[in-house]
Amino acid sequence: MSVFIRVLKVELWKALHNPMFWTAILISAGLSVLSSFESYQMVQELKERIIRSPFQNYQGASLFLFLLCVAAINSSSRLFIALWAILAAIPYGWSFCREKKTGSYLQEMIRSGRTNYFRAKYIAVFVSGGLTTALPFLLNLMVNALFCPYVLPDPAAGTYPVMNGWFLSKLFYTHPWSWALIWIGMAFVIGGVTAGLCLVPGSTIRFATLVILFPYALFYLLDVLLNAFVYNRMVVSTMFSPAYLIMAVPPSANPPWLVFTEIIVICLLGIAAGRYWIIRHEL
Amino acid sequence: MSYRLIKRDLKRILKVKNLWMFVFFLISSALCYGNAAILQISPSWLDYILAVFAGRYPVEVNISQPFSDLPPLHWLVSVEGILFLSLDYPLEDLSGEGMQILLRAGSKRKWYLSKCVWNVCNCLVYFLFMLFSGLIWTLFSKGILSLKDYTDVSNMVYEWSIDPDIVTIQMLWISGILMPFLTVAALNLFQMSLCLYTKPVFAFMVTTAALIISDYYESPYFIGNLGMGIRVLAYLESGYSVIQLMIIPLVWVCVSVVAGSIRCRRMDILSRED
Repeated sequence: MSVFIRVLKVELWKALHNPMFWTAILISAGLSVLSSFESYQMVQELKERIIRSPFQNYQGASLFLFLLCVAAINSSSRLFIALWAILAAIPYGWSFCREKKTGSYLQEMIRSGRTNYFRAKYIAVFVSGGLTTALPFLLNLMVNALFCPYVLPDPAAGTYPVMNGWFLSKLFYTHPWSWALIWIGMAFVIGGVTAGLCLVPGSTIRFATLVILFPYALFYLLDVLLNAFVYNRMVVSTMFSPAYLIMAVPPSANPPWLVFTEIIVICLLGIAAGRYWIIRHEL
Repeated sequence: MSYRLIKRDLKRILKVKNLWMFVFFLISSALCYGNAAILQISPSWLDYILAVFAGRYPVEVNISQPFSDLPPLHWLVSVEGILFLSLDYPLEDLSGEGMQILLRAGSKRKWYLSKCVWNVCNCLVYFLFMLFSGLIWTLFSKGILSLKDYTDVSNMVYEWSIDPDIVTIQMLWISGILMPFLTVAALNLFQMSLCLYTKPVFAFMVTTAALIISDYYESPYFIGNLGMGIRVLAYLESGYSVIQLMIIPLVWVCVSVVAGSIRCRRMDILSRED
């Protein structure tokens, strides 16, 4: 077994077997289930109204309208949208900061080499962050499917917020299940690269909590800057802010090129900073 | 010893890190400058100050436009800025030099109360930065250098709800500055107390959740509502007195200080470094 595989196994084990990971999973899953519960009450009311109406049109109660990644219509989904960047970083984003503080990273680095250590660390942070953001969407889809009727979304119904220019909008109206599963995959990647941003502060921040909150603070500061200097001065129809990157249907259009560009930029930022702090920086 | 403890903590407020608050307010005041550009007028100093914690009225949920009711970002970041920047110091001070000071202070309660004073003073400095950044922008935009005059910019930020026949300058000061200050100070103390019970990141998440839920459920009993100038002004207009509104953050302050003090006396300081 190569050194990289061994160190990767160790890092993954540490990432997925620590209380912070399970706490983050519990919080995100709890918000997802709460969102489903709030949606359940709305859907039941809608169903009663639809049964009484002569048209029997179930478009308004469709499964794909009440997904966590589509409609932020209740308090729990709003909480998830606000906190997703923190939740992604909680499981293992703090690890490099903590290991640097205690000095334990030197043990691993000497045994595995800097490059192997960095690769394994980034992958472990990525996987743990991705799981924390993708699992709630999957759970929400499965729980909602228990009580929401499956209706192929009809763009003419005017009830769906997905419009031309949004991420894979055509697929949403033709193969909604595939669309939902693709977005869950995207949420995994988005959560992963966001957690990777925790490597950016490196050893400049000694307090692990601030490292966990770094991606969240960075995204919201970017949002404020965009609001002050871009959205406030011109009409912009695309959503540049990474704070809402996790949402499949953000306030403005999120074409695939934009989503992928943002993911690549965030990923490169994490990798470049990680390489600097772990491989190039003086131990 | 108490005086020396407080003096040492207050010195920490002037750390370079806190200058980020000032940079943040300079950026956030640009939003007000942008609004003024739409109306083609120069905002006054008071306009810049009122714009920071204005917030917004609750928006009705519409399933076809789920994002029409996003939390007001500008307000959220303004409140969370101080929560974020004051998160680390009290716990960081439980190690190294801070640990020695705590041992010599002879009382964990004194140490904790000194941190409470530091917290409130930190908020005060935060608000002074806000005033100062407003001043800079007023000079830059050649507006009226007055804390008594407001223009249509404030009226636009307050969603055209300022009726000069009803709303006085005192009401604007209370809604736009005093109540947000009390709210931020109360949340800050609450977060610090919570840090003694759980990990700081969860304490931050709880305070953020309190703000978001307040935006969603419009009632003065949800503390976040009292940090939004627009909503406080609406409460004042609908008959709530200033004292009634001040009681809620003050209750949060008392509960936080008492709960934190009890926890501080009992906790094992050696395991609370991070």
